[in-house]
Amino acid sequence: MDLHLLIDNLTNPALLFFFLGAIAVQLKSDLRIPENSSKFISLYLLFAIGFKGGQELAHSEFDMEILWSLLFGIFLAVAIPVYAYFILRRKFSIENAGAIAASYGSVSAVTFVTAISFLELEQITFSGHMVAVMALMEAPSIMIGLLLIMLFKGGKKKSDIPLKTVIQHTLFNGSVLLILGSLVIGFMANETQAQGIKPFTTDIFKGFLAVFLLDMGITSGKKLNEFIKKGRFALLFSIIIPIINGSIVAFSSGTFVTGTGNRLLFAILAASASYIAVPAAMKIAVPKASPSLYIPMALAITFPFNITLGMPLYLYIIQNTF
Amino acid sequence: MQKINQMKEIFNNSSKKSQQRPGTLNEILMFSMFIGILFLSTTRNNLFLKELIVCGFIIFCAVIGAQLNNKN
Repeated sequence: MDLHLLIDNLTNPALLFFFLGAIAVQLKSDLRIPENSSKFISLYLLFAIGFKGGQELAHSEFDMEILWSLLFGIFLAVAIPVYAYFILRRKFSIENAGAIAASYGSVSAVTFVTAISFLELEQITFSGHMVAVMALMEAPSIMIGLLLIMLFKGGKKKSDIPLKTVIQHTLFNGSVLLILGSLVIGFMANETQAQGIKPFTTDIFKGFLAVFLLDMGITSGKKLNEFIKKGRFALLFSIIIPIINGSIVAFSSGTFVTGTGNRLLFAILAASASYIAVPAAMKIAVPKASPSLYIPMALAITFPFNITLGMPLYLYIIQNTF
Repeated sequence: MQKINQMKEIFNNSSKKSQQRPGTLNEILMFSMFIGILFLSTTRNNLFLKELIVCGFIIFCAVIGAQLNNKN
């Protein structure tokens, strides 16, 4: 990876705020972001990224690459949980393996937003349809995770998964609905109308991202302490799986996706793990799966890895392979 | 603040200089990171070793690509 990319990334104020949050926990500081503010900021980020994506999409012509990108995104969201499940079964129960696999197959919107901020910093362009790809990748892996659990549990206690509630939760959960809704609104709005809310969607975006990452740093710092006690298998999985997924996608995406920015976003989507949508769905569908396992894996290990070392590594692979 | 900017500039300049040499700091950094993860894997019953070898091959291709780009 290019050292200057790594330095640029590590001195990015948003990322430094993440570290500040993690350090604050270690120093036992009382630094906190109020829960409602944190929720508002996460909604704001989804709204802004969806709206901007819709605007970009409105300006781009529909071609086969958009279709291929959407199909590739869905393929990743289906394939990753399947292979991750079999690796996880070496150590974990069916429920835990299914929930973690779903988490790693799904995507992290915050990692995606941080990657966009990284691309802007490096002045690398990307297409608006990548936002749609991200939104589409959230749900399938939850369904695959649940299917795997149902399949391998055999006939035992199938009824403890209220499938209707899960489907409802998967397809219409707040974050998926907001990002898709904003994408459609952004697509429909004309340039003059979009200009009216530009100060809200664009100008203050990075500031809000920094505050949100500060909050993520505090949460990760807390989860990390609990997680270290869980053993090395989970720790290794949370570092190695993002490298494997990110490197393979960064390398192979060049065959049908053009543009460095789009390829990096694909790599980061494959490497990231969901810690908002999947836990929300799994809590309802698989109460036996342990949230103290799959949330810290995604949030305290995979997320910081991807935004510090992961992004420069995947970009290096993209820039130096076909 | 000015000192931090100067330090950042020194880091960037040294990294740019190192990129002009064949055995660059970037490759060393990546190699050490990979070896570190490989070490973790081997100390844990070769966990994910096959997958890591695939990643190692991809990173190796990228390093070769970077060397060729530098020569050109």
